[in-house]
Amino acid sequence: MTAMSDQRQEDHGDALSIAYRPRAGLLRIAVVNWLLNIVTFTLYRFWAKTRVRRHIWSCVHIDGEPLEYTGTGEELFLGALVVFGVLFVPFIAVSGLVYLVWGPQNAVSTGLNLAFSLIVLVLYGMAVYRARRYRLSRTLWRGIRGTMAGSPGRYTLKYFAALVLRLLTLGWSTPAMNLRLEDRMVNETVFGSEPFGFAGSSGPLYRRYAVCWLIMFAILLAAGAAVALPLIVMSAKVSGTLHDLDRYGITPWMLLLMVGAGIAGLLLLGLIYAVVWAGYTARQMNVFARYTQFGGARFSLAATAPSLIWLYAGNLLIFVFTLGLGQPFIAQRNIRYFIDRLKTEGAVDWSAISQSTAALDKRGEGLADAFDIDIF
Amino acid sequence: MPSTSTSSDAGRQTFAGQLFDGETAASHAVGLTLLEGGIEITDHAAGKVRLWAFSGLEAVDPPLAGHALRLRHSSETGSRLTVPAGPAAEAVLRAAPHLARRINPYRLMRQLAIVAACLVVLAAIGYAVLSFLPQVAADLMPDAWRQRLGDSVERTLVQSNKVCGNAAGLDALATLDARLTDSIPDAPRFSVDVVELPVVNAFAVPGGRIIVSGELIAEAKGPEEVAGVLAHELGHVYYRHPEAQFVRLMGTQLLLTLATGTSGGNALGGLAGLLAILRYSRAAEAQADAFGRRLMTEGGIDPRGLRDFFTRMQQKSGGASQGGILSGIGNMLSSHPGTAERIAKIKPLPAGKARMVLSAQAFRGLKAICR
Repeated sequence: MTAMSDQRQEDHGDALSIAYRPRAGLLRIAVVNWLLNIVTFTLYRFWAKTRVRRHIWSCVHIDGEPLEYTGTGEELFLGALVVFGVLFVPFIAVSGLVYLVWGPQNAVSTGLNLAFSLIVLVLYGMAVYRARRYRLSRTLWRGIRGTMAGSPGRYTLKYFAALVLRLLTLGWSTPAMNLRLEDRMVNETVFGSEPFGFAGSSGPLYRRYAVCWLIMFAILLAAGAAVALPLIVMSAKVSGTLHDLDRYGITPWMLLLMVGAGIAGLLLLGLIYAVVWAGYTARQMNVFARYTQFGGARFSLAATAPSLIWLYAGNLLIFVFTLGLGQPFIAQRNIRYFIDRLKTEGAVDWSAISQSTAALDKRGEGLADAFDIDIF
Repeated sequence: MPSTSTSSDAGRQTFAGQLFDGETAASHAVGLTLLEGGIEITDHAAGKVRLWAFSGLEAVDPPLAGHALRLRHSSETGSRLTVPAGPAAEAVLRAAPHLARRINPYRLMRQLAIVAACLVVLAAIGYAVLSFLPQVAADLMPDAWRQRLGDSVERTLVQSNKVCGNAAGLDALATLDARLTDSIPDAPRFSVDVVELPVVNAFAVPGGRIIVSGELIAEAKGPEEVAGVLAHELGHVYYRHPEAQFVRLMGTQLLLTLATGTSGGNALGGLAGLLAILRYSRAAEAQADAFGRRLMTEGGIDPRGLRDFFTRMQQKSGGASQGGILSGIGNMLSSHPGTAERIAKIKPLPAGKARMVLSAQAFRGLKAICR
């Protein structure tokens, strides 16, 4: 492939070009979707998502030709219906029965809840993988579609193992496991007959990870101390139930204020978390792009922590101030962030790539919808 | 659909375009000629000519001025044709104006039909789940389940409040309980607890338990008033209204989960949820009232007690709309015709039919049950 990409090819000898060229019409889609979602108790969301994707896909130009999204709202809807029928309805029915038979607090319902949480955690990787496969199989470029060539089961296990390891190592396995997951994901991604490639080590990720981890650890320690100390002092003075609080001069208003401060503190901590880890996320995006290859093309990405934080902040503001109406623009910002910073090198011999022969999924992304995974 | 018609006559407009055949990702430079009924696509390199009739032509993305036009055709679903922006795209749009129509009426109708069908199905399921199915389920519920459900509801309702258990009071209560149903052969099994709740109210909870607040006992001016309240609650027990409300709540949660795709939290826990549950529909209240009236008539319990109690509660300020026995009697709904109707339906017994409910001494004992 590298030898071939040196010589000029019939249509595009130049380096592969990827660009986002916005089209008019997204605002209209956003407004219509928002209204229909309200009227239909969010049942329209499958069709809404499809319309947004169709628009955004059509703005992504590769070598001058846009992507085409061919998925339908019906497929997403059926996928969600199956997941609810197979997973959620039986769970709710069984837990309702357990409640009736054994009452609310009992070992059986606790066990059932734990089992269900575990099933959801295990299936999370499955949801990620299948959602990607569905989207690829519904993405056409020059009439050729993509797919995932591997088995969702193996990825699911790997994903769950990564989750467990992450807990056991207090996060320190994250770079290595993220790399292995991305390795699976990219290496199993196929466009037409041509697979993507991914190779590299997690070494370049660890320095940045350590920095972010330590900063976050210090912040958590400080926050913990700030919350725990007053509580300890208070609990020394106050003992008894909530009913006795007024005896110690603590009014309900003060209590409300304390709860409010607690919630505000948690939100603040969430923001700090996103800001601190943006440094690592940017690094990981760049490294993963560098490890990826397609045909004769290689990629490099210039994500930075400040620009990523700006992206998050903008997204948050759009979401809050448009009451969710701006969701399609958030999706567009996310994809633009990536494409606008992506550079490519080398070309692809398109005429050597033929149509994918993989069978098409009949239904789409039910699990991902249920777990609220996707961004757009 | 390949065609053998001759290409590009003089005088016909011909443009350059790109064809993607859906077999490989290669781009094929083609010449486009607009004919009467379609576009003739000539691939000079491959020596292949095809005709895409306008009728099967569809725009991949909504056409926009200044953007290339992307087309597909029903005869060759895998292929894509790109017509460059400018005169070429404009000419094609003039020849096939349906491409510029932003809304595909067929697709829109289909979408609307699906969403409408879903809403209808959801509404039908919702109606079944919320109206008659819970009552069916409640009637089928084994006694053991009702008891366990009752345990948990009672625990949530009582919380850390005191259950009154003064010996003389309990004796009086037992006498009253027996007296209530002594002339009703099909009376349900039930038990009554007096709890120090900060409201004047009474609730029927699953499993045939009735919870009466200590304040209600304190408020009562005679044993007939307490008996009347219990008679009404026994109506709820008889028809298993509390059990039905629970099934209804679970069904609601299931529906919410189905429609919105989120788990929606556990609405079964918590006192606020409970009080909402114990607020029955007007039909259920009417049923319980009717049962209470029958019980009082056959048992010779003077119904004027209950009437006086209702009237007093209606005049009393501060008791906003509540669940339980006082559903619709609180301040908020006091102008509601239902309340007046409810009170008006309580008719005195024929003369000489009333029997004593509790002796004066026993009633004093009952009043002191929380002491």
